[in-house]
Amino acid sequence: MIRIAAEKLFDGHEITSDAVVTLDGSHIVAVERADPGKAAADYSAAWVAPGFIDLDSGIGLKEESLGFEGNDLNEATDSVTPEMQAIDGLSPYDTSLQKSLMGGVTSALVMPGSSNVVGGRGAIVHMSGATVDDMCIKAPFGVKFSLGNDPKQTHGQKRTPMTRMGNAFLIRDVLTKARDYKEKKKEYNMRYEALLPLLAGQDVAFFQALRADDIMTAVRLAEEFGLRYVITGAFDADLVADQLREKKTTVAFGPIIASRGSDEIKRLHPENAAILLKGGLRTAIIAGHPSYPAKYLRISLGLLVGRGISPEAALAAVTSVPAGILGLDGYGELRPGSAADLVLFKDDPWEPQGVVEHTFVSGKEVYSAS
Amino acid sequence: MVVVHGGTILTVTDGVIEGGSVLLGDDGKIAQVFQTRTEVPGAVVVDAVGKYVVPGFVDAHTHLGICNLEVGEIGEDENEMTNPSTPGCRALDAVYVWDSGFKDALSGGVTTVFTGPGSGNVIGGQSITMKTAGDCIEEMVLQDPAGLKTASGENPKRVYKVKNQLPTTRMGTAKVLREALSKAKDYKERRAGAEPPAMDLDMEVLCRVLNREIPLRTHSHRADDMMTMVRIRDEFGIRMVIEHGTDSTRIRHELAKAGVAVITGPLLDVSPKVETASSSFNTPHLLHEAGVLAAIMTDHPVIPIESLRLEAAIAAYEGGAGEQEALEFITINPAKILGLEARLGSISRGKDADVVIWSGHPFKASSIAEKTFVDGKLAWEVEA
Repeated sequence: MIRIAAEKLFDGHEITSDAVVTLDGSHIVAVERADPGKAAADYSAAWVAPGFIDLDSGIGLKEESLGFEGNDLNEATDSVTPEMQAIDGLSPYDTSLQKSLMGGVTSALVMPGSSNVVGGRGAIVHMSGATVDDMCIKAPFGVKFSLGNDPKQTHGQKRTPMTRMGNAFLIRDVLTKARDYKEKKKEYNMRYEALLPLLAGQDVAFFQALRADDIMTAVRLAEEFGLRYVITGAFDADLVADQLREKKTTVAFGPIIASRGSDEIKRLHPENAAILLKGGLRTAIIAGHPSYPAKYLRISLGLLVGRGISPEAALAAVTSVPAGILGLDGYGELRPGSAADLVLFKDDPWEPQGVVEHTFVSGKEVYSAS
Repeated sequence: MVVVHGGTILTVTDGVIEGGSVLLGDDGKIAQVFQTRTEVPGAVVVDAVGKYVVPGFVDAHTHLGICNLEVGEIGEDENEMTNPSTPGCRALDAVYVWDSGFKDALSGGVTTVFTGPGSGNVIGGQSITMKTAGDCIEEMVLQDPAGLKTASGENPKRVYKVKNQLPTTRMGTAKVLREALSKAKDYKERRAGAEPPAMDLDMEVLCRVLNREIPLRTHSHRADDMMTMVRIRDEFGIRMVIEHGTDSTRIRHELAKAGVAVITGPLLDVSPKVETASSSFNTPHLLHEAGVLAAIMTDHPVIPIESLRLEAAIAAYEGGAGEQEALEFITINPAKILGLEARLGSISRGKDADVVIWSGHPFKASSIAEKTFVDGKLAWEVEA
């Protein structure tokens, strides 16, 4: 048993003062008010929060400090590759994984990149483990779709798509064929097999869409096929916030800190994310690693707090909200029975001075600053 | 005249003044720094009670405006990659001052930038130093040229390998630079002789390097690349500043002895290349400790320019620098590297009135730059 005393504790929803969290093995067994009469805790920290969950990451698929040798994000030999699985390309030796733990990110949904219209299926993994199987929480999970410029640019000279029409056509086409395949299954087809859980409502579509029109194209496609879906990136989502609210769309916004490296990114501003959160849209905040380092996801939250988002809402956007989107019961929260993935901070987690002192994954200390 | 009233003033060079005032003169200079809330007859009062008053930050390595990326390739003007040696190219001719990055700079408290060519060529061209507020380059520029950009390591190799053209190795890169400087030496002597050769724009700027008027601003990540550059510096007796210096920690004592300043960064990114593997927020502090004049860059657009303060903040709390030293990495130190410490980098009487009012300490991510003054004029204000 490990007892951790917190001056401030964020349990995934609320902030309380002077609490003690008790871990037993890989789970939390108690979250209580500190009792001065009880024995001293094993650890104490200014802040304790659930480990952050980065929804839509390329960590491990695009290894830090390597060129093509470590780049396994996009199987761009075709523009529609639902049969690819992130877990088969994910390196547990990417140095970014340990750095993520140093920044309080303990798990992520790792998905193929955005070069293909359909990139493949993702994997929910911990940031620690000797092998990818050790790291794995759930895989395959999530189907990555991509709209906008990236597929056009990657494939346009060689094959479809070279336009946004082509992007949408390919998605509609493969889903139509997969639906047909499901009904009158003939010869085995790996591509369509990969889409069956999605069509059956057992998997979730993640549409990377930055421009507002691409976001609405994603919504249209998802509704046509009755998919459970999330919009990722979503830089322009504030422009269609009313429409998204009406459709109860879920958004994974980010990275918040990025240069306007293309036409699609030119409206990116922390204020856009603040508008979504204030508007009551279910919104997770992502680092978009490796576009922005997962290690500093926490600091991008500070930009939201500075724009009127409460610390609770900002922290929930990287803990209980992504856990809910992933359907990961017992993650992103600190309560009896939940996974012992938690982080001890020196100060406010969303501020640069709130450096991480200790990180636990499944009850094991995987990082210690001292 | 404007008097910024009652804030916590981080002067950088004269400590912290609680509840002081700063008088910005009509000549664009800081007319006076007061230890208390002081009324100045005729001056417009800007209330800063409960807020932080901080000098405008200086980013000594960016591609601001020369890399107008939001319009895609057509806005990309930082690498004239038709020849590995293009010293005659001038940033002044390519900076788009209406790029949204300038507003971002002001919103992040950055009032002065060094901007110029990229690292695709061994000799990329002439950089400039400029203020971030203004409507045309002529009124914004402070130094032209401010330095001659050179590059070593992976980037020029990668660019010219595709073209199957020199340089494809580190040896080739050093050869291109050494040859250009040697030719310039020869040109300089012959220009002074009885039968001077025709004027050559490339040679002219290299002569300014040989005359020590401007430094080579050399992009180097790996320690051996830095030492190669220092070797070439000493062969020609020229001035040099090292840019990036990712692996400089392992040669920090050598660099201190050589008297080379290092502008570290970009730091708030995922190391993209083999030669950037040792990227660390500890680097500027370790350099400083060894006696090297160190600064932090964004390398905008690699890291967005408004995040300069966040890089410094992480260097302060995670990189061992502490608040004062980290603040110096983005104010007085880059000002010294640019040779502009008499004008920039601190809140001191007589310096340029580049002053920013922050809602809280600028190292808090949740703080917002509420008003940015450049040369005494309000250049940016947060929307209420």
